[in-house]
Amino acid sequence: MSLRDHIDGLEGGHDSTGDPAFDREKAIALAVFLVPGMTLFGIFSVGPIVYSAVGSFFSWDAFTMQSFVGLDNWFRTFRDPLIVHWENIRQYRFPMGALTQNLLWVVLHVPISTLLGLGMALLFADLRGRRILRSMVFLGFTVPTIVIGLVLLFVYDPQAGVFNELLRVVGQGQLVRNWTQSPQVAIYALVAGGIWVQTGFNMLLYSSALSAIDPSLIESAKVDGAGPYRRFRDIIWPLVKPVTAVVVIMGIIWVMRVFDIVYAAGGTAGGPNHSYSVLGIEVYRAAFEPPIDYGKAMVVALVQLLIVAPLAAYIARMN
Amino acid sequence: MDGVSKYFDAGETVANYRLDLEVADGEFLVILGPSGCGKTTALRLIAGLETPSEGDIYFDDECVNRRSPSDRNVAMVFQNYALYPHMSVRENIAYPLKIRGIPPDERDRRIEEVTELLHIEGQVDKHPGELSGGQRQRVALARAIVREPSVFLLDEPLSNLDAKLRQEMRSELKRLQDELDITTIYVTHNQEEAMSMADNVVVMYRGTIQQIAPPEELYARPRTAWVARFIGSPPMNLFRGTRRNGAVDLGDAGTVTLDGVVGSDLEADTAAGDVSLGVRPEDLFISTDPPTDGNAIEGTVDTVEPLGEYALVNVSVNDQLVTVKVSDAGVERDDRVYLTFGDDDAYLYDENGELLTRTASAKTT
Amino acid sequence: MTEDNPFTPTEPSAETRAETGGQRYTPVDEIPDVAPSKELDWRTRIVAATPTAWRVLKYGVAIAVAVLWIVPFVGLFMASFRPLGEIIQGWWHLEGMTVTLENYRRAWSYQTAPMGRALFNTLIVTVPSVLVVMLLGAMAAYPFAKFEFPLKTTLFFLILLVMAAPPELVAMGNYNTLREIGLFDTYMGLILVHIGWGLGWVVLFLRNYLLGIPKELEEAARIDGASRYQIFRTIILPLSTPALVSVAVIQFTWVWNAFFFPLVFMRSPELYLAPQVLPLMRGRIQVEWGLMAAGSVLTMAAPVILFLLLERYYKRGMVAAVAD
Repeated sequence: MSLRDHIDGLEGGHDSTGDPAFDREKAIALAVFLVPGMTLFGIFSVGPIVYSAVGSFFSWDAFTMQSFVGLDNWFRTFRDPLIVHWENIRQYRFPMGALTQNLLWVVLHVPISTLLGLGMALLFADLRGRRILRSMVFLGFTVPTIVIGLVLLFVYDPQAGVFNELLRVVGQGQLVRNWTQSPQVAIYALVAGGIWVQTGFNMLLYSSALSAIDPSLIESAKVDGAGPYRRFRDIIWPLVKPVTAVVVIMGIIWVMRVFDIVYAAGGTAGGPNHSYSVLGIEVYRAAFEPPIDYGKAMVVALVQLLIVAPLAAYIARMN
Repeated sequence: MDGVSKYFDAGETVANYRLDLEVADGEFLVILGPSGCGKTTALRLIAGLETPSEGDIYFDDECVNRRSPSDRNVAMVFQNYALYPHMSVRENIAYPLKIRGIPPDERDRRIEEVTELLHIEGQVDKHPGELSGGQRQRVALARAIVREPSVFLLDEPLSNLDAKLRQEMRSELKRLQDELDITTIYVTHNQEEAMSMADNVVVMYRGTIQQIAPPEELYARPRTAWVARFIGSPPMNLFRGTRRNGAVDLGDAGTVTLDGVVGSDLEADTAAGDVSLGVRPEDLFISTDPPTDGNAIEGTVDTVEPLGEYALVNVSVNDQLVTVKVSDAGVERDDRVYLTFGDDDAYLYDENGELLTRTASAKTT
Repeated sequence: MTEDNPFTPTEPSAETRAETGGQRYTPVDEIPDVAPSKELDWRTRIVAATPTAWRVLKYGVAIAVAVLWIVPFVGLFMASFRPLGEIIQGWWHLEGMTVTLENYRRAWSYQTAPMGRALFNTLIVTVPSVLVVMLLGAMAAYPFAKFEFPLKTTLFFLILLVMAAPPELVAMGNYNTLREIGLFDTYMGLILVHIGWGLGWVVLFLRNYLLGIPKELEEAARIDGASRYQIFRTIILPLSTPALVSVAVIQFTWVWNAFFFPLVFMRSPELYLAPQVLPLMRGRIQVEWGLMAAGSVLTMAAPVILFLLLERYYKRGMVAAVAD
């Protein structure tokens, strides 16, 4: 609505375009097109973000904003062992705090799923039935993530789980355990699940980048005498490299938002003794489970955004 | 390479059917045909981007069917140039050399040579995206030439350029080929390009070779009615008629005796059947009075198209439209006219479209 | 004499002629329509039909990887049809398999929140969230793509910011807003949150698509006397159908699959959405695998079927949405 005011206010200023009646008509049209959508967008997306940004500097009584406390919430949050647990980090023992665990997830998940996605895109690129193969790998990405979490629970179950059965078959029976409930390894088990889902998405992005390469470039390289490895290194890779930035950043965004999988496996605690909690889980617990701590919830959610925002800006800059 | 010929025989039903083709060393061969006739497939077979389903391809005396393109020492210029967009011009040209492990000094020397040859010295540090169509074309050529390949393959290299540039590049390509003396196979659908550059032209139609001949011969002696219509602009006129008693009966338009006609065969004077009599528009003369001797075809003027340098007169002969190229029309619509031609300029094709040849013995008779 | 005759065609050398049986040119009529079956013995044929070892290996690896990727879903599917006792022995044991719909029956009428009801709730929330986002998104995208207006860059920046933000960041603000306006724990409240959240990417996605529609089309319509609204309705909307289908498919999947928003905004068990019900099915001591699997299959059926039907739009949309 401030937008409409703004546009109406500018109405007279556009004399250069000529007929002022034309401008008025244009301004009204703009308002009609923009205002309904942008209002909802403002109220339910931008507004709450601003609210959180402001609220993170205030003290809270449950859901009610109290007084300005400066960086108090921020300091408190970063000292909270649930977010960063320095002592356990030094001993490399879980729980290390949601922020650390979330970042560890990024470090493992993103490179592996990127490489797997690229590898599969290359593998499937010229096979017959590639559409079916790709759909099979991509299927996980269309399934509700909460189901993914439950499937992981099932896969890693000591009795009914196919993963443990696999261990028994290859003679590693001593490793059999309930993977999602063992504090020191559970996070890796869940990261593997995340990779399982995201590889399909990365493969899709790489596949479309590969199919956008003019086949005559590859043929030209063949005639020039390049073997499969040189063709990949000199032609294919440089041409799909820009997609890698997108793949990596989308991966980071996805992992920083991960919530459902952890919730399914470990509830709102984020596993036994919070051993694989992530930032999203901490926000939920702080905001909606007693004792309610809106200030901390807002700080943690902002941290999630701050980690991702520069990357998103980088993607935006690329275009 | 010396004393060499390449023997090429491939069969691929849809694209190419049993092609026999031989290219001499240093020859400039143009494969000419309408789109979809299989000429590009033929080129890709030579390059090794396709494998023949039948038949063998020889380089010198060696069968290269199973060899990969990189082992054939061929260079190819693609229709869209296929310049690597992420490399500078210099890197593009250097790429085939780099792959072959040629040391950097040598590489630089050869790049310099070839860029000078093609007048693109100023562009070496640019990326393909910054170049004009003609410059890209030159870079693609440079990348192919720098290799010093034994065969140089060009797939419609000029089709993406505008008319003026195309003409320029045409003569440049011809010059380059003369200078470098590399065996060149050039694919095009543009007959002007083919005629102006080739040592030999291969005319292809629906996957087969219609005729292999030097440009002059192609024009002067098209082997089939199809080639006759394809080469030359406007295309050759074909009068449909029936052959009997050493003459072609054109119905109401008159009768043409075959005595001196190039394609006639005295031996077969008694032969009968449906034939086509072909005469090029530029070999037809037009007159309003019936000529006293020789052959004449009667018709009515349909339209006159003055084109400055010359005029085209479309004459309706037995419901067939015939084009005549004259320097000065002098006739008008609905005029009754007679078309005459020299016996040497007429060709006779049988119902299959094959040229009926006069045997040497027939000539002496 | 023959040599001098300019009309004698150049003939290939006698040698070549001999090799090709003297038949130099193949008449067009002789080209067969299909590949001639080669007169080869069966051994040669088999060799020709066998792909190279490298390709066989590639296919083998590719199929193995793809199968490995869906094994967990196969297990889930199998478990949903089998009694708990058999699942605990391992769903991969096929001997003595009992197929039962008991799990589905129990899930459908699960006591805390029956799946039947939950799926209905999910549909009630999803359909309006998708349709409204499509309409409002297309309307807002049009000026973004085609006009200059003040604050455009700012709005653009805000959209990007929201796209990067985690849903947790808007939860607190929306929680308070919905409580204030009395829409907390209602369909309407959740729908509004979904619309507000989805608009960002939809506007950006459709804007990028609309940029590709040539200006001439609009100008032609303008000369024909169409107003901006008519241009939008008769030119822009029909032309963006493929993009709108992509938006519909992706937004449907996201809203349907969403877990966090319902978890926060839907508190009454009779309003629970399907993804919300699933974790409740875990049970206390022994995990109710069959029940949970049946519930999961019911919940994922809609997005998976939609994906399989409109795979093209889904993939294209996904790629376009993030690649831009």
